[in-house]
Amino acid sequence: MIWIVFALMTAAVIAVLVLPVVRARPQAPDLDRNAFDRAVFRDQLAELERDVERGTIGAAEADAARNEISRRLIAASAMPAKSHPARTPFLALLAALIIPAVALPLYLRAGSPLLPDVPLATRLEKAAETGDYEALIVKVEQHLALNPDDVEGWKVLAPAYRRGMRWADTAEAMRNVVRLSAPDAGILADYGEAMVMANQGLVSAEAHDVFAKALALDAKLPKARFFDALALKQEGKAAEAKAAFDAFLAETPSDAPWRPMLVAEMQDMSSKPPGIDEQAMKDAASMSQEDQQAMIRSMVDGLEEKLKADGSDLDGWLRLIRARGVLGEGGKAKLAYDTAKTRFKDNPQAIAALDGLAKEMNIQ
Amino acid sequence: MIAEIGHFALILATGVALYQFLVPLYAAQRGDRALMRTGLTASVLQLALIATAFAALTHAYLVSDFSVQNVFENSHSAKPLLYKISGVWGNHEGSMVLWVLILALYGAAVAIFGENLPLELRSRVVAIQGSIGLAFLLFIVLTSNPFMRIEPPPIEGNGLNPILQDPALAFHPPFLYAGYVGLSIAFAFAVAALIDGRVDAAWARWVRPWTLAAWVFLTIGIAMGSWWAYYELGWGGWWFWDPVENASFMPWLVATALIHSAIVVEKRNALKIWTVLLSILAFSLSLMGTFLVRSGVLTSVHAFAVDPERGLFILIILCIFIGGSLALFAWRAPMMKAGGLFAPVSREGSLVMNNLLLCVACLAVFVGTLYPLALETLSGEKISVGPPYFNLTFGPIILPLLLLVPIGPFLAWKRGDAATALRRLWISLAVAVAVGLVVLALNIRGPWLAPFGMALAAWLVLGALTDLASRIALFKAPLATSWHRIIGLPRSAIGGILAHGGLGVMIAGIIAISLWKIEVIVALKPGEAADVGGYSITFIGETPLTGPNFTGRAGRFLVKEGDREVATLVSEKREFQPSGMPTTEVGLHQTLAGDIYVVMGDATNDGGRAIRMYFNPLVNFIWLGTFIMFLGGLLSLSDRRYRVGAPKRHVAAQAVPAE
Repeated sequence: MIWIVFALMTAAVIAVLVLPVVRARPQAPDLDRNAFDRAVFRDQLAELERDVERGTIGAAEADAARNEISRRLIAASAMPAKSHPARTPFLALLAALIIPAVALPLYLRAGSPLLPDVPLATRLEKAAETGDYEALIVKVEQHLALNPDDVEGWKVLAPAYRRGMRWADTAEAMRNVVRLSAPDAGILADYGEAMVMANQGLVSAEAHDVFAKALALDAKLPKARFFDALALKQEGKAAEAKAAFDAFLAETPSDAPWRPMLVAEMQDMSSKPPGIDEQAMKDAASMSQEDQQAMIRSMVDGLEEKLKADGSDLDGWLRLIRARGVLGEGGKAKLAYDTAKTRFKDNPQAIAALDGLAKEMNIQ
Repeated sequence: MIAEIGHFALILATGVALYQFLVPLYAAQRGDRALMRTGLTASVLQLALIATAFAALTHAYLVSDFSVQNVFENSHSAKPLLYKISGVWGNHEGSMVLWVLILALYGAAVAIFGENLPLELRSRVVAIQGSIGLAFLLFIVLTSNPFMRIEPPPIEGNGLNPILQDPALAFHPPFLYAGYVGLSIAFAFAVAALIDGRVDAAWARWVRPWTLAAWVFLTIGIAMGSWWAYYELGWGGWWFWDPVENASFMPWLVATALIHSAIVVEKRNALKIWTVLLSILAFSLSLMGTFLVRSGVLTSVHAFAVDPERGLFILIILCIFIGGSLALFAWRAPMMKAGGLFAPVSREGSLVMNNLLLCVACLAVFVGTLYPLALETLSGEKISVGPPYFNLTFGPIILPLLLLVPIGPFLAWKRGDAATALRRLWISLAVAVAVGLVVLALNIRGPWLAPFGMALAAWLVLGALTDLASRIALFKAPLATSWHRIIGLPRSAIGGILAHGGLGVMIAGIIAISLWKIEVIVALKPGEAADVGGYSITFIGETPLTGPNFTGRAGRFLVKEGDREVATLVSEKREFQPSGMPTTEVGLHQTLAGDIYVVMGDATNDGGRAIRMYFNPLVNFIWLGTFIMFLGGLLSLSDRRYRVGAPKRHVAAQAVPAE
């Protein structure tokens, strides 16, 4: 279809160029070229007379100028009309063929003939039938901008953001779900979890409150228990954290999907760079204290090496700084913090995250 | 499909440009009239195709089609309609499409309206236009294609640089480009004349109005840019000798020279070869301006792309066109016949003087703009050449020119008399000196330039008025006669008077703001006040602010003169979505006597704000003067002598009038 349009455009261009040549009748001899000059010189003479009338030129100068122009007028006398060469329709056609010869390869190189237009409005309209996930999200967002109290909308949006790892947006959507729903432990826990994820794994005081509220509604809710214990641990209340973890573990079935994570957190009560992969954590669980420490250090060093090679991973930097801090290596934590700050100096969000972490870890 | 049709139309235009370049040149050489006419058709087709491409791109912006990469990178669905449209040329790729669109517009205009030009000349002009179009279309298609697509398309775009979201800047590029590209017509005419080996009499008739059109657009474009810099950047200045500004100022200087020298070619058939050279130089400077801005060799307030591949491409285009045309000039110019003779003191002589001084002034700007670049390229050393350099070089060169401006129109053609001219100007001279003395008396402690500058401004304005008065014999003939004469004056004459008078008005503004500007920087808490230039300005407080695609804080200021409330000003700090980029909106109270200009700065620790306040005396005279110059250009452009018809067939048969 689109190729037909292109072909028509090309054909039209060539036709408009070439047809007049093909159809041209032998013409009457054209004006000779000097006729154009004579027209201008006559006009100049008229202008000169106007100048004289207005007094912008002296009489003697006007005479001299009149002589000059008249001389030019005589010099530009009629030239014999030139004979015209034979009509050249084939030449014209041949020349016009350069146009597709140039255009086609250039278009094939850069064009995307099969891609349809995607105007935003149409895309949003058809989002449901085409299953356009991003567009659906925007539609719900637009709906919620007008009806901010539609809890169903927020309930759709939150998991959608979650799937896209848009944690801050997830937290905001969950905040609205909480705001608009009857108190519910599950919803509160999901809200808290989104806050923690948006905060690079750190349970803020605000998030801790949310988990506390969830536990008040359902003391046995695993997600709330886990994050409550984690918060205690991060707040440095080791004994309370251990108690909470122990109680939780005791009531956790051996096949619960969160069990490995829980075990890892517990193994790591004293020193753990958060966010290092779970398999390694499981291995660490069966090691001696010294081996654990050595393994963790080697993992952190590895992370540092990786960041030296490619420093664009903000999460990596945050993990590294936290790990150094937790391992009690304040100097190295400070070094990593400074390096990351220079690396991300143009990114205010990153700087804010780094500064927040530094404050929390007491790095100055 | 619309996007792809636009893409194909742009590429088809590239092919047509190649045809338009080669075929008319060959046909003109062979004398094949039918084939020459196809060249004219090609230039109209060229316009149709590029307009299609431009319309398709604009459509993509209007409907927020983010499958087009250029739209994704530079637009946002929440942007106001005006900036969706201006976003089309608010970025590198789109602005280049606008560039070739305007080029095609001029090329088609020659083809359509050039009936009074010999067909050979018209064909060659169209061919040269085609070659320029070809170069820039290839540049667009190969390095800066606005029709690249993204699959799958993102759901939202990145937005337009907020600093460009401003009405003055929305229309600044189209005007500036209309000016830059308009000079391509003079260039094409010059190169066509060189290929031809003759300067037709009709040549000058054409070069002058087209250069004038380009000059009018350049003038208004530069003025808009300067006006924008004044109120949007919030630095209180109006001209920074920034390389980007210079890039548009240099073609303006040479175009000004060109419209003056073209008068001589047109009226007296002299200075032809010089005018050909000047035409080449004017467009070369336009190309260089495009290169400086588009290649990213500069880093300045104009936030545009940096890409060495593109820079190299434009540099090659630059070398081919400038080098090629100058080489052609060196080869062919000596074969051309020189024109009429004139004495050194004459209208012609004064216009030559004008040309020399403007060109030297342009050279000074050229050196100041390019020397830092050359130095950085060669030695890696970074220096910045600022206003002191330009004040010391450009100033002394332009000063004699300004002094001579009122005298020129009083010199007769061919042989003039300076004493007579000055005698007719004695009242202006006396009043100007008196103005200088009054200013001196009021500013006895300096600044010392003030009396002189104001006298100069008065001299220019009064000189223009005297020119008008003497043309209509004011006070020498009955008033009715004078009125009759004013109606009968050629519009080009009134245009010239306006342009010269406007220059004086502008100079008054420049001198005033340069010498008497008052700047106060204070930290104020809500309720506190500061004094600036006889006004007391109170910081009332600030409120939050929400726009279509930004949020921010608005500070309110009460301006009082004594006990009288003059104005309430609002200065805003905005933060644009989605980039988070901050901008400043200036609080401005404009009067002819001067502007009160308030900028709310950053918050201080104790809950106040750092606030900059200016009193800019007579600053609006700058833009008022430029606007008068612009009007003068427009008026001159509408002069009836540019509507000379094509020679009729029966004219050819008429006898030559006898002397």
